[in-house]
Order: sequence, then structure tokens, then C-alpha cells
Amino acid sequence: MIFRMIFKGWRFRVKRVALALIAFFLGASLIASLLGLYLNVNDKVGLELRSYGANIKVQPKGGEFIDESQLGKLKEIFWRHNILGFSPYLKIVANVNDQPVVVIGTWRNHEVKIPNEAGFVTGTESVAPWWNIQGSWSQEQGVIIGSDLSKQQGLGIGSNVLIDYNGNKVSLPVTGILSSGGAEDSQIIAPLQLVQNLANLPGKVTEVRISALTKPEDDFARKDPNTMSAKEYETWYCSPYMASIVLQVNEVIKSGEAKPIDQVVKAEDAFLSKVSLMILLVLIVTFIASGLSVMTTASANVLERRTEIGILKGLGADDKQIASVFLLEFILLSLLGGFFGYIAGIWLTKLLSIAVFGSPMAPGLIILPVTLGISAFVAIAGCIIPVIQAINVEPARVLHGE
Amino acid sequence: MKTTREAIVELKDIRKSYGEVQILKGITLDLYKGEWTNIMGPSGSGKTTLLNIMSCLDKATEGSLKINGVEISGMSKQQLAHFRRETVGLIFQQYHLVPYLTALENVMLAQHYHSVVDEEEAAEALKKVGLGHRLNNIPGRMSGGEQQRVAIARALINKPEILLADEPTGNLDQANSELILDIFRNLRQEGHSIIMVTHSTEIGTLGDRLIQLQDGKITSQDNRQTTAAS
Amino acid sequence: MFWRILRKSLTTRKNHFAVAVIAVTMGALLVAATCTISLNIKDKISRELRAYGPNLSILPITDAIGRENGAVFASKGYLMQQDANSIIGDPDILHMSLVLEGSINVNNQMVSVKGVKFEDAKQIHPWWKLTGGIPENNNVVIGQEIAKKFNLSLNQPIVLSGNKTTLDAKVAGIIETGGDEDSQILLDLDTAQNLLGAIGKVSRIDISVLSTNVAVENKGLELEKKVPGSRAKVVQQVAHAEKQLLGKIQALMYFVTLGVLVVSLLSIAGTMTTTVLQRRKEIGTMKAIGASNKEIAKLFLAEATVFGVIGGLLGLLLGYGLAQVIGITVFSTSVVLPIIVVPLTIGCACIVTWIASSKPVLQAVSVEPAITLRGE
Repeated sequence: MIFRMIFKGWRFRVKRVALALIAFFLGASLIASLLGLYLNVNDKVGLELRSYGANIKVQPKGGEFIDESQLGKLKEIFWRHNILGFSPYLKIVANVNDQPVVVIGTWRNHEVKIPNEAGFVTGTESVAPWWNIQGSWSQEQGVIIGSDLSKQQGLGIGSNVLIDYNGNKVSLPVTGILSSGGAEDSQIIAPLQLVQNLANLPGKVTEVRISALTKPEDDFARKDPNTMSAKEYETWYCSPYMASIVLQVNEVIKSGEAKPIDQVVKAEDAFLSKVSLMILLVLIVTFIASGLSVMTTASANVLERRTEIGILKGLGADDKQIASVFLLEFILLSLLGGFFGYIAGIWLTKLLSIAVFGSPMAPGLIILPVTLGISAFVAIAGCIIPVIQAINVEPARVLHGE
Repeated sequence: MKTTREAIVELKDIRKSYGEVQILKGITLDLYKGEWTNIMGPSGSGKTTLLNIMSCLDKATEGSLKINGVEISGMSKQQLAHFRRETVGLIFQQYHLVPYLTALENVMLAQHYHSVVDEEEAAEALKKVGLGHRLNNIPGRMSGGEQQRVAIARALINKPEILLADEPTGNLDQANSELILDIFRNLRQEGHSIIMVTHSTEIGTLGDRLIQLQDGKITSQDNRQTTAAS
Repeated sequence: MFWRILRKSLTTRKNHFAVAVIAVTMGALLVAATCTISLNIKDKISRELRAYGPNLSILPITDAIGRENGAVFASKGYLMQQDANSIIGDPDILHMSLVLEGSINVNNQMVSVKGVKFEDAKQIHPWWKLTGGIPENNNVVIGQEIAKKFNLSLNQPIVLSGNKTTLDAKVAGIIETGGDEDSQILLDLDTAQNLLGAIGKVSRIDISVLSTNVAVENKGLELEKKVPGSRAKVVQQVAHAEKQLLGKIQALMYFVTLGVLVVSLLSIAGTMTTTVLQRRKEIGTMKAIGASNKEIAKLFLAEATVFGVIGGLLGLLLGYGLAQVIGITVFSTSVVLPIIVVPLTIGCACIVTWIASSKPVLQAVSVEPAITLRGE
């Protein structure tokens, strides 16, 4: 009977119900959209923050060098999809025109063979995306030279530079000039293999830098893995915390010891936490405003239906029954509006993500139940005062027009 | 001829004030089962207020009210609502049907708040007041007289102890008024207890008793006993 | 008479008044809060990103010109400290750190040293991990590699030999930075100047430029002119990423604000429409007693304006307060109320209330009074 009353009542008051439904729809779409944003912003902004370059560095453990052949295994760890790029470095001090110059061997864009998978192309473009190279750096024979060194030595694009390492000499063409504002400006960067040959250190590197997508540290992340229970450890291992990824890197690069690059990691964690927090706060504010908006609509609704409430009371309906009619109505409306709001919200977030970050966000199925839940909760919370108003309607007054 | 009268409503020194204003200034009255009692009085005399109190729609500020032997004055809102659905049937001047429910559904609504919805029983009740052909019409598609008849069927469906009617023919034309009053006569015949507030002296004489109210006090209580046969 | 009617109309139906004002206030609050945050976000993010370290270096020009013998990793020229001090107090400079570089001898080995003002250096490089404390009395901080190499720990003595002077110092702290400092020794700037025989000189200035109002490159060019014999170098790693990021976060906030704006205004419109719809009877009554359509419209428009202005003002205040709370909670700094938010909030509130009130009024005004007065 109640449902019959509610649905017939809606048909009778179509306009008002439509307005209420729209109110829920709007609130829910905003909430769903912000929720989607909140759940994904870490990934999206985290990816953006990779423009700051490598956040993990690996140094030799118990020896002078790291074994280059172990690098391929980086794409086999549990978090391999979070390893966005890496690059090995072999740093030697050679002589150029009787002057000691640091020569770095590394990859610009190098294909790493991964068993059972297509090759993975990586190099300094991933771990040092800010390198501003005038000219180009082809992987074959050419080198790039730091801008300060270039000016100092008078070496420009097209000239040849003679590098002398302990008697081994090689003359290489300069194909590009690098300005980075860092140490590289006074260095020569050459293809890794070339430098390895020059220094007679085949397959060896002095450092590896890795760019990994991580999840900001929270209290759980900071726990000492040795003190965790088996289940806790599994959760920790399977979360992309910096510490867990570093552990996994150490497991595969046995000749090296990995550490987070504090400069990048600390700033990144703080930043991501703040952006997330900001979105969460906007979400909460929207949620509260939504609740109050529902309250005013519900209040107007109750006001309008005073006579009807009086009739029901006249028929013997008690407070609980009156309250349940309105609550039920509003919960139904909120779920309906919430569902469509969810669809609109997800679509909005997709648009927003493409517009700002160039790629859509993963909607996450959890958003639907959470949106519906929040919608219903907002309906209930917003209804409290109006329902109290409904309960307080004096039947004698409204039925006799006194 | 009935010699023993069973009191169905017992009012003792009922007073009602709204803030500073005293509407009822001490009403002591017994109303009897099976009788049609009319209450009359000028505007502001408190007759509607008195009816509201007897309908359990409002609570007296002071005094005792017993319906069917049950003391009402101490009841909570919840208890009052439950008592109301068992004991009284209300009929209003403005009919007060739910505008978007059919005649049938309006009666079923009363069943819902009482016990169990029974569509057949509701249809029967409407047929009894001559609205068998109007079961699926909404109030908007019925005349005033028809709406009031639905209201009467609704008031009767849960077999209440008393029927309380507030100027039931106030919004109706002569022909429809007659129809409605006829129904009340039949109900009186069937043994229902009826308490009616009215403006019209004509209607006032139709019942078994006439109570006159002025300024919140009873000015006359007609205690005549009529014979059971009308 | 009009004002009396207006006043009465608003004060007698307290419930209706409250409902309308709350509805408008909520919408206006969201508008004001999100607009304020959006317009402040660039500055806030810019400040946050300073945690990545300096984005600009001021170096001596002499580095670049001509061929010079000597180690590539020691800088060759100097800037005058007093010239460097001239740029302190520039509003776009958030942090500044003077650095003097050189080499000294420890246990017969050449070690790189840096002279800095420790407070400045720590502020501009917030990720530096210092065990122990900031040195006083000519004591030093050593990089963790140096600690390993020379087997030194806190409070142990260390002797530094410069060109002309020798310094008997104690290890006041051990530092881990992930950069060159790990294999260097850090001293107070004045101490270093004495030790290296470079009084009043610095090798470079590390600067964290706040890029809210100015591009880092342009700031560099500006500062070059202020410090004689200098050239500015943008630290690409920091500056390049920041530019992209600022743009995107700002765009993100603008979109969120737009979304919130649309939803809030529609929400206000909806609630206002609901409340006005129920006053058709009233309009019928007014017409029946002889009010003209124009007068009725005027009254409702005036009411809508009252709601718009009061709700708009309240929403503005609350929204600004809320933006402050968010700003302080997230970024630990307060937000500035951009002037445009005031007319934007109140204006939107009024316009929306007008539009929302107008349709039902127009409908009602065109209906015959008898119909609305007949009662339901």
C-alpha cells in the first residue's frame, strides 16, 4: 500500500518530484565525479610528477660495479608495471684536450629484452625527461656535450671530440648540446656500450636510476616489514609503496643496493598527499552542501503536504509511520538520482581527466555503491528536520483549517 | 424503548487553551452509545475544538476524557494514534480524501493503518454507499456528494466505536446533503454512535440530542430520549 | 506601501524565508569556496613544489669564457657576497642559499668542501637528512660517504688544511642528501671563506623562485642584472616539471570549480522553484484584490533579490571561511580572497534566484485568480 501511495503521489506531483530528483542527480554527479577524482588523482598526478625524473637510485653493493644484465629483471618484479623507466650509468673521468672531463655512458632510448614479452624501450628520456638537447642524440656513435663544456672547449654540433681514457683514445662526433642546469652541463654523455668499450668494462655500470610510480607513504607503509605478520607483509608487498618497490628492486639487482632519491620522493609524497587532501575536503564540503540542499527541498515538500499528513494522522498513522513514508520516498529518489548521477559523474570525470591529463581515469566499480550510499545517507540526514516537521504537523489544525 | 444508556464518551471538566486564549472552559458531558448527538454553537464557541478532542486529534489541557471506558487524557501521542485507528471514524467538511488515490484506494488506506488491506471488503463498503461504479475514480473526478460518501465508507471500514462528523454537508448542495443525511440516518438505525457538529438547526433536530455551546461552555443539553425506532 | 508588503511577506512566513536563504547560501558557499581555492591554487602549488629544491642558480660568468686549466668540478669564478645580498627581500624569491665551493686536505687527501649558511641550506633543500646538529664554533658537518671513508662519527676531531690555514674542528653532524654533499664537508660560510682564503666571496647562489607571478627564466634574467658578473641558470629538472604540473593542477581546479558552479546554481534554481511553486494561491489572492501583473512581478523580483543578496553574502562569508580552513589544513598557509569572487558570488546568486523565481511567477500571473483560489 505504501509503495502504491508513494508512486501514485509522484505521478500526481510530477513537477515537484522531478525537481527533487534533479537535486539528487546533481548532487550525486558532483559527488561521484569528485570521488572518482579523489581515487585516481594520486595515479594521474603521480604520473605527472615523474617529469621530475628518477626516484630510485641503485648503487653497487660490495664491489665497484653493477651488473648490466640484471636490469632486464626490473620488468619482472611484482610491480613491473609501475617501473616506468630506468637507465644505467657508467661514469669515468677521461681526458679531453688535457683536461679531466667526466664522461657518462648511458642509454637514451634502448630496447631491453624481456623474456616472453615485447621489448621495453627506456633510457634517459624516462629518468631525465627535462634534458634539453639542442640537436639530437642518435644512439650509434654520437655524443652530446654539456652546454658549459661546449662553450668552454669550443665544441659545437658537428665537431669531433677526442676522448682519452688511460691511453685508449676515441674520436666521436658531437650531435647535440645539453642544457640541464645541473652537473651534466659540464659533462659528456655517450652511448653506454661505447664508454664500456673505452674503459674496458663490458656489461658493467656504476649506477642505475629508476623512475617508478609509487603510492604515498602512510603509517602502514612505514612499518618495519620484519615486524609484520604474514598477511600484513603480503598486503605491504602488494602495495606500491616506495619501500616495497625498493625491496623488490633489491631482490632482482643483486649486485646493487637500491635507495629512494630523497629529493624527489619526499617532495612527491608531500605533494600527492596535499592534492588528495584538497579534493577530499572539497568532496566533504559538497557533501554537506548537498545535504542542506536536500533538507530545504524536503522541507518545502513537507510544508506542501501538510493536509495529506493530517489525513494520514486522522486515519491513525503514528509518528513512525508518517516518518517512514517520507524517508522511504526520499531514499528511493536519492537512489534513483544517485544512480543517474553516478553515470553523469563518471562521464564528467572522464572528460576532465582527458582534458587535463590527456587520458581517462579508471572509474573504479566501487564508486557506484559509494555514490548510492552517500546519496541515501544525504537523503536521510537531510530529511531529519523535515521529517520532524512532518511528525509535528497538528492534524486538528490542518484538517479543520482553524 | 431503551431504558439503560451506556456512556460511550465521558467528559469531565474538559478545558482547552491555546496559549493565553481559553477555548473550552470546563465541559462535563456524557454521550451515549447508539445515539446521534448534534453539537451546535456560534463561531468561536469551541464546538470544533470539542470535536477534535473527542476525535483524539487533539489533547485537552485539563480534565478527563474516557472513550468506551478507556481514559484518554494520559495517553502519549503514539498511544493516541493507535487508539484512534481502532476507535474513531472521522468525517470532515472538506472530505479530505487523498487526491491521487482512487476511491477504493482511499478506503484501503484506512485499512492499511488499522490492520490489513482487503480490497474486496473495501469494494463492499463503497457499494454500500452507492459508489460501486466509482471504485477506480480519483476524487477530482467525483462530485462533492460522492467524495463525502467515500469519506463515510472510509470512516466506517474499521468498525469504529464512534463516528465524528464535522459539518459533513457544509460544502454540499441541497440534493447531496439529503443523500448524506440519509446515510447518517441509516447508520443511526444500525446502532452506530454518531457525534456531529453542525451550523444548521434543521440538522440539529435530526439527532437524538442537541448540545448547545457558547463561549466554551455548554448552555443547554437536550436530554430527551427518542425511541429506537425513527 | 511596497516596502511594507515586501517586509511583511518576508517576515511572516519565516519557514519559507529560512528555506530560501539556506538554499541560496549553500549554493553561494560552494561557488565562493571553489572559486577562491582555484584562484589561489597556483600560488599554493608553487610554494609546495619548492620542496623539490632550487630552480635557479646564479653563477659567475667567468666559468664559461675561455679555456682554463684545473678540475672541472670546482668552480672557477666568484661572486661578491655583498652583491648577492642585494637580492634578499625580492618577493618572488622564497628561499636563497649562498654557496662557496673549494677543496681542502684531510689526512692527505683532497676533499671537496662547501661553505653555506646552514639554516638557508636546510630550508632550500628540505630533504637533507642531518644527524647531529648544525655546527657552531667552526665545527663541521660531513657527508655520509666521508664519514665512512675516514671512519668518523659524531664529535670526533677532524683537521682540515686549506691553502694557508688549518682548521681543527669536530664533527658536529653527518649529512645524507643523495647528492654531491654526501662526499663533501660542509662548513659555515664565514669559516669556509677564511679557510679557502676567499673572504667576502661566494661561488654561486641557489635560489627557489616562486613562479606564481613570474617565469623562472625571466626572473633569472632580472637577477643577472642585479648581481654584477653573474649569469643565471635554470635548474631544468625542477623548473621544467613544475611548469607542466602547475598548468595541470590549475586546469583541474578550474574544471572542478566549473562543475561545482553549475551544480550549485542549478541546485539553487531548483529549490527556489519548489518554494515559489507553492505560492500560486497567494498570487491568485493578490490578483483578486486588484494587484496588477506588474506589481506582483515586482514583489516577487524584490523578494528574489533579497534572497539572492542575503544568501549571496552569507555564502560568500562562509565560502571564504571554508576556503581558509581548506587552505590552512592542506597547505598550512592562508588564502587570499580574490576581488572578483565577491561580485561573482553575489551576482550569480541574484541572477539564479531571479531566473528561478520568474518562471513560476510568469505562469501563475497568467492564470485566472478564480482557478487558484478555488482550493485543492
